[in-house]
Amino acid sequence: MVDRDFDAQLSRLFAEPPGFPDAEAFHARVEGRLDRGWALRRLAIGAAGGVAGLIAVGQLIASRFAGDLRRASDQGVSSVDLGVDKLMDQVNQFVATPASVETLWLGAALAAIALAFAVTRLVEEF
Amino acid sequence: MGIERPPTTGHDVELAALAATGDRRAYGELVRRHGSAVRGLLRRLGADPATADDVAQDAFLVGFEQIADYRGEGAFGGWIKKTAARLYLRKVKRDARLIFSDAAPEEPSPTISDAAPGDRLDLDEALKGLSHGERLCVSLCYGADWSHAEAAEALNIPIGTVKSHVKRGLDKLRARLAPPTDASARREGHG
Repeated sequence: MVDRDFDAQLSRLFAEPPGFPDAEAFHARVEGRLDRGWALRRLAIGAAGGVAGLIAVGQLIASRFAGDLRRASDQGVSSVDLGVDKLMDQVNQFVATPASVETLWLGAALAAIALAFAVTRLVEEF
Repeated sequence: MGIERPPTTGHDVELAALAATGDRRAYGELVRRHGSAVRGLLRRLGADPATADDVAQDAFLVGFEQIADYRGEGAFGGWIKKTAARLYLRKVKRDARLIFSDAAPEEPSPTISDAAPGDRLDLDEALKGLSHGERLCVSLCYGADWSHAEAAEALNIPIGTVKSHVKRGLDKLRARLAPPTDASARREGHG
Protein backbone atom coordinates (compact mmCIF):
# COMPACT_ATOMS: atom_id res chain seq x y z
CA MET A 1 0.00 0.00 0.00
CA VAL A 2 2.82 2.33 0.99
CA ASP A 3 4.73 1.29 -2.14
CA ARG A 4 1.70 1.98 -4.29
CA ASP A 5 1.25 5.41 -2.72
CA PHE A 6 4.89 6.21 -3.30
CA ASP A 7 4.65 4.98 -6.91
CA ALA A 8 1.70 7.29 -7.48
CA GLN A 9 3.52 10.18 -5.82
CA LEU A 10 6.60 9.61 -7.94
CA SER A 11 4.58 9.34 -11.16
CA ARG A 12 2.87 12.60 -10.26
CA LEU A 13 6.20 14.31 -9.60
CA PHE A 14 7.60 13.12 -12.91
CA ALA A 15 4.42 14.16 -14.73
CA GLU A 16 4.62 17.75 -13.54
CA PRO A 17 6.22 19.67 -16.39
CA PRO A 18 8.98 21.94 -15.13
CA GLY A 19 8.81 25.60 -16.00
CA PHE A 20 11.45 27.00 -18.33
CA PRO A 21 11.82 30.75 -18.83
CA ASP A 22 12.96 30.15 -22.40
CA ALA A 23 10.02 27.92 -23.33
CA GLU A 24 8.88 30.30 -26.06
CA ALA A 25 12.37 30.49 -27.54
CA PHE A 26 12.55 26.70 -27.59
CA HIS A 27 9.18 26.54 -29.32
CA ALA A 28 10.34 29.07 -31.92
CA ARG A 29 13.53 27.09 -32.58
CA VAL A 30 11.57 23.90 -33.22
CA GLU A 31 9.11 25.69 -35.49
CA GLY A 32 11.99 27.27 -37.39
CA ARG A 33 13.58 23.87 -37.97
CA LEU A 34 10.24 22.43 -39.03
CA ASP A 35 9.78 25.21 -41.58
CA ARG A 36 13.29 24.86 -42.94
CA GLY A 37 12.94 21.10 -43.29
CA TRP A 38 9.61 21.46 -45.05
CA ALA A 39 10.95 24.06 -47.49
CA LEU A 40 14.02 21.99 -48.31
CA ARG A 41 11.91 18.91 -48.89
CA ARG A 42 9.56 20.68 -51.28
CA LEU A 43 12.51 22.19 -53.06
CA ALA A 44 14.14 18.80 -53.44
CA ILE A 45 10.91 17.29 -54.75
CA GLY A 46 10.54 20.12 -57.26
CA ALA A 47 14.13 19.83 -58.41
CA ALA A 48 13.87 16.05 -58.67
CA GLY A 49 10.68 16.43 -60.70
CA GLY A 50 12.37 18.89 -63.04
CA VAL A 51 15.37 16.63 -63.57
CA ALA A 52 13.13 13.60 -64.04
CA GLY A 53 11.05 15.46 -66.62
CA LEU A 54 14.13 16.44 -68.59
CA ILE A 55 15.47 12.90 -68.45
CA ALA A 56 12.10 11.58 -69.59
CA VAL A 57 12.05 13.88 -72.59
CA GLY A 58 15.61 12.89 -73.45
CA GLN A 59 14.78 9.21 -73.13
CA LEU A 60 11.66 9.55 -75.27
CA ILE A 61 13.60 11.15 -78.07
CA ALA A 62 16.55 8.78 -77.81
CA SER A 63 14.42 5.61 -77.68
CA ARG A 64 12.41 6.70 -80.65
CA PHE A 65 15.54 7.23 -82.76
CA ALA A 66 17.08 3.97 -81.54
CA GLY A 67 13.91 2.06 -82.44
CA ASP A 68 13.84 3.56 -85.85
CA LEU A 69 17.48 2.64 -86.44
CA ARG A 70 16.89 -0.95 -85.31
CA ARG A 71 13.87 -1.33 -87.53
CA ALA A 72 15.79 -0.02 -90.50
CA SER A 73 18.52 -2.56 -89.84
CA ASP A 74 16.11 -5.47 -89.36
CA GLN A 75 14.46 -4.90 -92.63
CA GLY A 76 17.68 -5.99 -94.23
CA VAL A 77 18.26 -2.96 -96.30
CA SER A 78 21.28 -3.67 -98.37
CA SER A 79 21.72 -0.29 -99.80
CA VAL A 80 23.06 2.29 -97.43
CA ASP A 81 21.50 5.04 -99.43
CA LEU A 82 18.16 3.39 -99.30
CA GLY A 83 18.51 2.93 -95.57
CA VAL A 84 19.47 6.50 -95.00
CA ASP A 85 16.57 7.63 -97.14
CA LYS A 86 14.21 5.43 -95.19
CA LEU A 87 15.60 6.58 -91.87
CA MET A 88 15.24 10.15 -92.90
CA ASP A 89 11.68 9.40 -93.91
CA GLN A 90 11.03 7.92 -90.52
CA VAL A 91 12.66 10.83 -88.75
CA ASN A 92 10.45 13.14 -90.73
CA GLN A 93 7.51 10.95 -89.90
CA PHE A 94 8.46 11.04 -86.21
CA VAL A 95 8.50 14.80 -86.19
CA ALA A 96 5.33 15.06 -88.24
CA THR A 97 3.32 12.43 -86.38
CA PRO A 98 0.83 14.13 -84.07
CA ALA A 99 1.24 11.46 -81.38
CA SER A 100 5.01 11.93 -81.22
CA VAL A 101 4.71 15.64 -81.04
CA GLU A 102 2.12 15.31 -78.32
CA THR A 103 4.37 13.04 -76.31
CA LEU A 104 7.26 15.39 -76.73
CA TRP A 105 5.24 18.37 -75.68
CA LEU A 106 3.72 16.50 -72.77
CA GLY A 107 7.16 15.63 -71.43
CA ALA A 108 8.37 19.16 -71.95
CA ALA A 109 5.31 20.56 -70.21
CA LEU A 110 5.81 18.27 -67.22
CA ALA A 111 9.41 19.35 -66.95
CA ALA A 112 8.43 22.99 -67.24
CA ILE A 113 5.77 22.63 -64.51
CA ALA A 114 8.20 20.90 -62.18
CA LEU A 115 10.87 23.53 -62.78
CA ALA A 116 8.36 26.31 -62.29
CA PHE A 117 7.31 24.74 -58.99
CA ALA A 118 10.91 24.54 -57.85
CA VAL A 119 11.61 28.14 -58.84
CA THR A 120 8.43 29.31 -57.09
CA ARG A 121 9.50 27.58 -53.91
CA LEU A 122 12.93 29.13 -54.17
CA VAL A 123 11.46 32.60 -54.53
CA GLU A 124 9.04 32.05 -51.65
CA GLU A 125 11.56 30.63 -49.26
CA PHE A 126 14.67 32.71 -49.87
CA MET B 1 -20.77 28.67 -42.83
CA GLY B 2 -19.16 27.43 -39.61
CA ILE B 3 -16.45 29.20 -37.73
CA GLU B 4 -13.12 27.48 -38.20
CA ARG B 5 -11.62 26.69 -34.85
CA PRO B 6 -7.96 27.65 -34.54
CA PRO B 7 -5.76 24.60 -34.02
CA THR B 8 -4.47 25.97 -30.74
CA THR B 9 -7.66 25.08 -28.89
CA GLY B 10 -8.04 21.43 -29.83
CA HIS B 11 -7.28 18.30 -27.86
CA ASP B 12 -3.86 16.76 -28.39
CA VAL B 13 -5.34 13.94 -30.45
CA GLU B 14 -7.12 16.40 -32.73
CA LEU B 15 -3.95 18.43 -33.12
CA ALA B 16 -1.96 15.30 -33.90
CA ALA B 17 -4.51 14.32 -36.55
CA LEU B 18 -4.19 17.77 -38.10
CA ALA B 19 -0.41 17.55 -37.93
CA ALA B 20 -0.57 14.21 -39.74
CA THR B 21 -2.08 16.08 -42.69
CA GLY B 22 0.93 18.41 -42.70
CA ASP B 23 -0.52 21.16 -40.51
CA ARG B 24 2.61 22.59 -38.91
CA ARG B 25 0.64 25.13 -36.89
CA ALA B 26 -1.19 22.33 -35.12
CA TYR B 27 2.07 20.54 -34.46
CA GLY B 28 3.58 23.78 -33.22
CA GLU B 29 0.89 23.91 -30.57
CA LEU B 30 1.81 20.39 -29.47
CA VAL B 31 5.42 21.52 -29.20
CA ARG B 32 4.28 24.46 -27.08
CA ARG B 33 2.27 22.19 -24.78
CA HIS B 34 4.83 19.44 -24.31
CA GLY B 35 8.18 21.12 -24.91
CA SER B 36 8.95 21.71 -21.26
CA ALA B 37 7.94 18.21 -20.22
CA VAL B 38 10.27 16.67 -22.80
CA ARG B 39 13.15 18.97 -21.88
CA GLY B 40 12.59 18.25 -18.21
CA LEU B 41 12.55 14.50 -18.75
CA LEU B 42 15.82 14.58 -20.68
CA ARG B 43 17.51 16.53 -17.91
CA ARG B 44 16.20 14.08 -15.37
CA LEU B 45 17.65 11.26 -17.46
CA GLY B 46 21.01 12.93 -16.94
CA ALA B 47 21.44 15.10 -20.03
CA ASP B 48 23.14 18.46 -19.62
CA PRO B 49 20.88 21.40 -20.51
CA ALA B 50 22.31 21.97 -24.00
CA THR B 51 22.14 18.30 -24.92
CA ALA B 52 18.65 18.02 -23.47
CA ASP B 53 17.44 20.90 -25.62
CA ASP B 54 19.11 19.54 -28.76
CA VAL B 55 17.65 16.09 -28.25
CA ALA B 56 14.24 17.57 -27.42
CA GLN B 57 14.27 19.52 -30.68
CA ASP B 58 15.29 16.41 -32.61
CA ALA B 59 12.55 14.45 -30.88
CA PHE B 60 9.89 16.92 -31.96
CA LEU B 61 11.19 16.86 -35.54
CA VAL B 62 11.17 13.07 -35.56
CA GLY B 63 7.73 13.20 -33.97
CA PHE B 64 6.45 15.31 -36.85
CA GLU B 65 7.90 12.85 -39.35
CA GLN B 66 6.25 9.93 -37.59
CA ILE B 67 3.07 11.62 -36.41
CA ALA B 68 0.99 9.32 -38.59
CA ASP B 69 2.13 6.45 -36.35
CA TYR B 70 0.50 8.12 -33.34
CA ARG B 71 -3.08 6.92 -33.32
CA GLY B 72 -4.25 8.55 -30.13
CA GLU B 73 -4.25 5.32 -28.11
CA GLY B 74 -2.18 6.95 -25.37
CA ALA B 75 -1.35 10.51 -24.43
CA PHE B 76 0.66 12.44 -26.97
CA GLY B 77 2.93 13.60 -24.16
CA GLY B 78 3.84 10.01 -23.35
CA TRP B 79 4.43 9.18 -26.99
CA ILE B 80 6.76 12.09 -27.61
CA LYS B 81 8.59 11.49 -24.34
CA LYS B 82 9.27 7.91 -25.38
CA THR B 83 10.62 9.16 -28.68
CA ALA B 84 12.86 11.67 -26.88
CA ALA B 85 14.14 9.05 -24.46
CA ARG B 86 14.96 6.69 -27.33
CA LEU B 87 16.89 9.44 -29.13
CA TYR B 88 18.76 10.35 -25.96
CA LEU B 89 19.78 6.76 -25.28
CA ARG B 90 20.95 6.39 -28.87
CA LYS B 91 23.06 9.51 -28.48
CA VAL B 92 24.49 8.38 -25.18
CA LYS B 93 25.40 5.00 -26.63
CA ARG B 94 26.95 6.62 -29.67
CA ASP B 95 29.04 8.86 -27.45
CA ALA B 96 29.93 5.81 -25.32
CA ARG B 97 28.93 7.61 -22.16
CA LEU B 98 26.52 5.01 -20.88
CA ILE B 99 28.10 3.83 -17.68
CA PHE B 100 26.30 1.58 -15.28
CA SER B 101 28.15 1.99 -12.06
CA ASP B 102 26.59 1.82 -8.66
CA ALA B 103 28.32 4.97 -7.51
CA ALA B 104 26.50 8.24 -7.43
CA PRO B 105 28.01 10.79 -9.82
CA GLU B 106 30.93 12.68 -8.32
CA GLU B 107 29.87 15.96 -9.80
CA PRO B 108 26.34 17.14 -9.20
CA SER B 109 24.08 16.04 -12.02
CA PRO B 110 22.48 18.80 -14.07
CA THR B 111 19.16 19.84 -12.73
CA ILE B 112 16.54 22.32 -13.68
CA SER B 113 18.21 25.42 -12.35
CA ASP B 114 15.18 27.61 -12.54
CA ALA B 115 12.94 25.20 -10.70
CA ALA B 116 10.55 26.68 -8.23
CA PRO B 117 10.68 25.43 -4.69
CA GLY B 118 8.43 22.52 -3.90
CA ASP B 119 7.91 18.96 -5.08
CA ARG B 120 9.71 19.34 -8.38
CA LEU B 121 12.82 20.73 -6.79
CA ASP B 122 12.73 17.92 -4.29
CA LEU B 123 12.56 15.33 -7.07
CA ASP B 124 15.41 16.87 -9.01
CA GLU B 125 17.48 17.17 -5.88
CA ALA B 126 16.66 13.62 -4.89
CA LEU B 127 17.62 12.31 -8.33
CA LYS B 128 21.11 13.72 -7.80
CA GLY B 129 21.78 11.12 -5.17
CA LEU B 130 21.19 8.21 -7.54
CA SER B 131 23.83 6.45 -9.58
CA HIS B 132 23.72 6.95 -13.37
CA GLY B 133 22.08 3.58 -13.90
CA GLU B 134 19.51 4.06 -11.17
CA ARG B 135 18.66 7.53 -12.35
CA LEU B 136 18.32 6.40 -15.94
CA CYS B 137 16.18 3.39 -15.13
CA VAL B 138 13.91 5.25 -12.69
CA SER B 139 13.46 8.20 -15.03
CA LEU B 140 12.75 5.96 -18.01
CA CYS B 141 10.18 3.89 -16.13
CA TYR B 142 8.49 6.73 -14.25
CA GLY B 143 9.18 9.73 -16.46
CA ALA B 144 8.86 8.17 -19.91
CA ASP B 145 6.46 5.37 -18.91
CA TRP B 146 8.72 2.66 -20.23
CA SER B 147 8.21 -0.87 -19.02
CA HIS B 148 11.16 -2.69 -17.44
CA ALA B 149 11.37 -4.81 -20.58
CA GLU B 150 11.48 -1.77 -22.85
CA ALA B 151 14.19 -0.18 -20.73
CA ALA B 152 16.20 -3.42 -20.70
CA GLU B 153 15.99 -3.72 -24.46
CA ALA B 154 16.92 -0.10 -25.08
CA LEU B 155 19.79 -0.17 -22.61
CA ASN B 156 20.90 -3.61 -23.76
CA ILE B 157 21.05 -4.98 -20.22
CA PRO B 158 19.16 -7.85 -18.54
CA ILE B 159 15.70 -7.02 -17.26
CA GLY B 160 16.79 -8.11 -13.79
CA THR B 161 19.43 -5.39 -13.79
CA VAL B 162 16.82 -2.80 -14.70
CA LYS B 163 14.57 -4.00 -11.89
CA SER B 164 17.37 -3.86 -9.34
CA HIS B 165 18.39 -0.37 -10.50
CA VAL B 166 14.78 0.78 -10.20
CA LYS B 167 14.38 -0.80 -6.79
CA ARG B 168 17.55 0.72 -5.38
CA GLY B 169 16.70 4.05 -6.98
CA LEU B 170 13.21 4.02 -5.50
CA ASP B 171 14.57 3.19 -2.06
CA LYS B 172 16.88 6.19 -2.21
CA LEU B 173 14.15 8.46 -3.57
CA ARG B 174 11.71 7.29 -0.93
CA ALA B 175 14.17 8.19 1.79
CA ARG B 176 14.92 11.58 0.27
CA LEU B 177 11.36 12.50 -0.63
CA ALA B 178 9.78 11.30 2.59
CA PRO B 179 8.05 14.09 4.47
CA PRO B 180 9.98 15.13 7.56
CA THR B 181 8.85 13.34 10.65
CA ASP B 182 8.00 15.25 13.82
CA ALA B 183 11.26 14.13 15.35
CA SER B 184 13.41 15.26 12.45
CA ALA B 185 11.49 18.54 12.21
CA ARG B 186 12.16 19.12 15.88
CA ARG B 187 15.84 18.31 15.35
CA GLU B 188 16.01 20.80 12.50
CA GLY B 189 14.19 23.37 14.62
CA HIS B 190 16.69 23.00 17.43
CA GLY B 191 19.67 22.77 15.09
